[in-house]
Amino acid sequence: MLSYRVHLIAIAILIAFSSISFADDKPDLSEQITKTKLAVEDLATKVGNYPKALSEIEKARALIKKTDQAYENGKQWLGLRGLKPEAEQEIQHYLQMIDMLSGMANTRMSEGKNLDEAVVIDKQILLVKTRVKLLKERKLETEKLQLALQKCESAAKELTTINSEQTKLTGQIDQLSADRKKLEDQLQALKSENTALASQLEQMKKATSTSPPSATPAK
Amino acid sequence: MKPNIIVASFLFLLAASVSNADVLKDASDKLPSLTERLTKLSSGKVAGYAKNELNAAQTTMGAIKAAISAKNGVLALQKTEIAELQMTIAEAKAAELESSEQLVLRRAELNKLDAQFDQLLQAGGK
Repeated sequence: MLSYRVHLIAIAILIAFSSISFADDKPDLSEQITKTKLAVEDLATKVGNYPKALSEIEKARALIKKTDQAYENGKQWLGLRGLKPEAEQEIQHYLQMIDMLSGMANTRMSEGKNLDEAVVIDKQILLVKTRVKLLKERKLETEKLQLALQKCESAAKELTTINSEQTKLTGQIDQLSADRKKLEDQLQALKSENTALASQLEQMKKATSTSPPSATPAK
Repeated sequence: MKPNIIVASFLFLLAASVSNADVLKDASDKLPSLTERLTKLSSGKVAGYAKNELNAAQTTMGAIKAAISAKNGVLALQKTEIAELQMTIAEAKAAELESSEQLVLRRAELNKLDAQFDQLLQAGGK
């Protein structure tokens, strides 16, 4: 009877060891689950505050819970004989989904960053556009003012020329006035002389008519 | 005692068979909508951005059909989940790449405006 019990215990120990050895040959799912959990939580700290990325993280976390549940439900002989094949398949499936969701969280984060940067750039574009518009308006205004200035300068030159000509003409007018005055004086003098000569001639005519005619006319 | 065990085993097998049939039906029901979604994505702009992701989804669609043919309901359903996710990933990838392209265009526009601004500023200073 004792020998029978020893045999039974020996067989049980052999089965247990073979199970453990068999379980060790398979990929360590427990370790993979732990690594996946750590990776997801690490990613959660890196994806920032992008709602879409955080949503993928939440989905991954929900699948981690399902993975844990599948792992617990799939244990055979309190874990001594590893996991049921269907549980392993389920866990591998969840791990694959979690991995894909993690990748998608990264993609969503990149998209979020791009959209954030686009908002910043749009603001900068608006600002620079406003500045460019302002500078263009100022440039146009400056060009208008320069054109007006050129016209003013031209007008000023013309005015200077006109002033110079006016001065010249004024001088000429003065000179002509002076000449005229001189000529008027001369004319007046000639008139006076003419009047005097006319008077003398008249007197001489009178004198000739009253005196007797000479015997011989003067030659 | 023995008949009880046989009945219990029979019931267990029956339940398992019914469960597999339900899962198989779920997977089969999802197949048309998945095919339609994949067709739409493949003919839309997503195809231009996430061809690899759509190819992967196409491969998974083949795996779904194979699992359905093999009457493996659990695998078929799992593959439908994977295919759905792959398509969503394709859409996300496309959105990301499109936003990247838009960003490049915006940066170029900003650089152009900056250059124009500098030019105007220098011209104004002369």
